[in-house]
Amino acid sequence: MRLAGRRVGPLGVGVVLLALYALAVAASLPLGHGIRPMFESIGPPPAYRWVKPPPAFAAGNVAPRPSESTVGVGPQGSDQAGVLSEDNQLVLNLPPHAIPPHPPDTSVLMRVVPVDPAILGPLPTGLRANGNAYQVKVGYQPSGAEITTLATAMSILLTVPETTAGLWFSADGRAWQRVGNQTVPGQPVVGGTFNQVGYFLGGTHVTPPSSKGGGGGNVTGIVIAVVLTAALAVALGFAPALRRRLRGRPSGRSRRR
Amino acid sequence: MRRLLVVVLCVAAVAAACSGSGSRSPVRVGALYPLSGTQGTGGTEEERGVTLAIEWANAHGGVNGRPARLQTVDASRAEAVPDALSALRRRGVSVVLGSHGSSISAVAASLAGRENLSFWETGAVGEVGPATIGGRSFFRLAPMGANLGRAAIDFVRQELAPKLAAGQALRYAVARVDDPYGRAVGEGAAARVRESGQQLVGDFPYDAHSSDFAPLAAQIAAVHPDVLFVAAYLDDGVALRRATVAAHVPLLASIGTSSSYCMPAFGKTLGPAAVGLFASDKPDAADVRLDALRPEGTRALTWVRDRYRARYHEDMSAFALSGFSGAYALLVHVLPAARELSPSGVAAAAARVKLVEGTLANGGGLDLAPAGAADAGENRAASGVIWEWVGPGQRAVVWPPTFATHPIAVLPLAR
Repeated sequence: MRLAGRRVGPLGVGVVLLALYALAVAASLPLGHGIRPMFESIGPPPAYRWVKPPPAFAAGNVAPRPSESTVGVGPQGSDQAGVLSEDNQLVLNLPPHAIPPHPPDTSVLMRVVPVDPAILGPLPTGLRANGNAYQVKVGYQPSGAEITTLATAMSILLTVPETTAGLWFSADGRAWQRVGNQTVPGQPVVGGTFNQVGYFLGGTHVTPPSSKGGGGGNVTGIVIAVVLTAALAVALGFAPALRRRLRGRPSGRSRRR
Repeated sequence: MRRLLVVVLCVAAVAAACSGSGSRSPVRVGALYPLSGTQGTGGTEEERGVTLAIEWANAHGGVNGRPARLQTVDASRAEAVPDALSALRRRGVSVVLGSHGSSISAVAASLAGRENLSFWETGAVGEVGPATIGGRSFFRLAPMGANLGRAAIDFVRQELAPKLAAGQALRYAVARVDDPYGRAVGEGAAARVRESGQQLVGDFPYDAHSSDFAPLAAQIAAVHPDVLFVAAYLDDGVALRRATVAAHVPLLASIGTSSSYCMPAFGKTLGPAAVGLFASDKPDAADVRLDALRPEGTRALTWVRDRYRARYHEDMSAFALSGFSGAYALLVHVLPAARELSPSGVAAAAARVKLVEGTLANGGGLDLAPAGAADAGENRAASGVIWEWVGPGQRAVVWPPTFATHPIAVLPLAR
């Protein structure tokens, strides 16, 4: 990552973030802010931005747009960088040198395109798409040479609208492989690490069709009751015949003698 | 022949036993609340209130002798609602309580009919969409947002205005988050200003996730309001108040509503800058006067306040009391009156059951508007009060007189 024209290493980035956090905490102290300065809110989270919203969420949906970010590439490879999609629903964190050097190119252009997952191949059986898919394309600049595989895996953090069942990747948008299942308690995100670019998509379990009819029923209890009733009826109905058969045995006759 | 008679008698006896055990099988009631995420704290408190209402009902004979069992699902955001409702449906639930958050409530209300569920809102006050079938599959036990807004304006007009500017018409402005909650409350307030012949000089919808409220404060200052009505969440409500103080907006009065102005954290964070502000909202358990309740409400409130404190080691918040009171009305009065627990059976009972104000622990009653009415499914006897920050970090109920614990104090606002 470059800061004021100078390259800053991972330690430097960490120190800067720590300083910013300490500054935010310190700034809140004199103002009588008796609660934590971060991660508090009573309002709902921002509405999920769908490429193609379900009917219940069509009103007010703001469709996400494609975005582009440039990451510097030096003799050792790419800078450490974080790339956000336009809707902030996809975060890609590239460690230092994740993209190998490619002289005389000096940077890579990362393009993130939100995609309706319905136009892509289906996830494995039992799963369905959890929000948008995102296509990530990376190309050296100025040559335009395409990159599909990174030298070091990047981390991917994807905001999803529903309960997560993992993060999935596809190079071509047809066949999917799971690349992560990291979650953050209380946050609607799923994460993973991977060293290729292509399509990323969250998965969720397919919901079985809901049963109809009145609530409060006890189907198991009814089945047990019917079976018991039938068994009792059979037992009682055939009890006299059974008794006669038992009386008819030789041992019974000898006892009667 | 005798054998056949024995079989018939046995089958009849077992069938009768089955029928009896069916009537004592649990009544499964769904609970759909945000138990995690940004609204997890308030949602959890409201769900705790519902849990205690289930305990109360079961300790007092259940639902016509059948124990009530709560089936809880976490819906931390609106997008989680469709799956959560389906999950409840699969568990045999036909009546669902929820949902604390207006964005969550709007989705649940619109999907309840399609899922063949009866959805009962205990806390959220925001508007619901046109797909909602009020009075059939959707009922709101909490005050309707628009009514909170109207109550706020009525209070200012009737109680404050004569003390603030005798004989002069006040200029009103409305600032509100641009979502179902803000629209419902803010539009209710704006409509009441117009209906009552007052002057509405500005209506300012804004993004709750904005980080800079100085431009909004400048817009408000530019229209020179005497009274600012605010429908905000906590963080944006605090930020907007700070911005209006920084911009030296010369307000005579400001009144907000639930989710910000009446919350303890609001007064704690703002300190002196909150003194003199009012809020239109639901009452906390600690601030409901027992002498204002009917005997049934007194019994329930006394029990639940003690039980809540013993179990959760804190006082019952407005959210928790709202959850308890709403669930209590459903479990103790509506469901026992239903001939069957299908959505249509519950809706028919809901239309019949009427409880006078003061019957519920939060001071409210039950008078659900029938299907077809403009406010179908809304509780016309829901309780609402006006709070005031009477000192730094100190708030009190000041209106209506039945619930007031402190006289109305006209205090100069910080600017």
